[in-house]
Amino acid sequence: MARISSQIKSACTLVLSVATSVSTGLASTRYFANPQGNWQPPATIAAIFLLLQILLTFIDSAEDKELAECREERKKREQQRQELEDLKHQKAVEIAKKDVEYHKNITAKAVEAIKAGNTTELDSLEQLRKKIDG
Amino acid sequence: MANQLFVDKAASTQLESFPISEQRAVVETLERLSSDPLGNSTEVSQADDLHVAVVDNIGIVFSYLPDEESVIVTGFEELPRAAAAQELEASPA
Repeated sequence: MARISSQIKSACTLVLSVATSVSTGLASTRYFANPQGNWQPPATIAAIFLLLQILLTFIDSAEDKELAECREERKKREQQRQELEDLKHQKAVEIAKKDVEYHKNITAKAVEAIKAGNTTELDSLEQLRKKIDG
Repeated sequence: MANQLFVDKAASTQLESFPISEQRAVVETLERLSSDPLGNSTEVSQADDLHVAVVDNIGIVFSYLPDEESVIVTGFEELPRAAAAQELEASPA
C-alpha cells in the first residue's frame, strides 16, 4: 500500500513538475499580465501548478517525518526487546551457575547411558513431543 | 546437520509442570537447538560445555557435546518474569 502511494506521489510530482515548466514556458513567451493588469491564462495556470507542487512537497516531507519517527520507534522497541533477552540469558546463566555440579553429573550419566545404548533415563525429542501432545 | 537431542527424565517431568503454550515453545526451541546449539544460547562454563537458551520465561540448560554430536538437556529454569522487566526499566537507557 505504502509503495503504491509512493508511486502515485512520484507520478503526481512528475506531472506537476512538467505542467509547471510547460505553463511557465508558455507564460514567458508573452507578458504575464496585459497592460490592464489582468494575468494572462498561462501565467495563472503556471501559478496554480506551482502552488500544487509546493503543496505536494509539503505533504511529502510531513509523511517522511512521520515515517522516520515510526522507524525510530520500531528501532527503540527492538533494542528494548534485545536488552530484555540479554537480561534473561544473564539470569539463566546465573541460576545455572549455582547448579553446575548437578548439570555436570546429569551430563556425565547421560553420556555413559548413550554410549552403553541404554537411554531409558532420557527422552528423545520425539518422545518429549508425544508427551506434550498427549 | 542435526545433533541427537536427549532430555533428562527429571527435566522432562519438570517441563510438564509448565503451561502447555510454554511447553510447546520449549519443544520448538529444542528442535532449533538440535540443529544449531550455539546459535541462540549463552555459554555457562566453557570447560563443561554447559549452555543456556531462553524461550519466553524459561531457561533451558543443556550440554553440547560436539564430538558425540549430542545435545543433552539437563534442566529447565523458571526465570523471574517481573524482576527481569523491572531491572530493564531501572537500567539507564
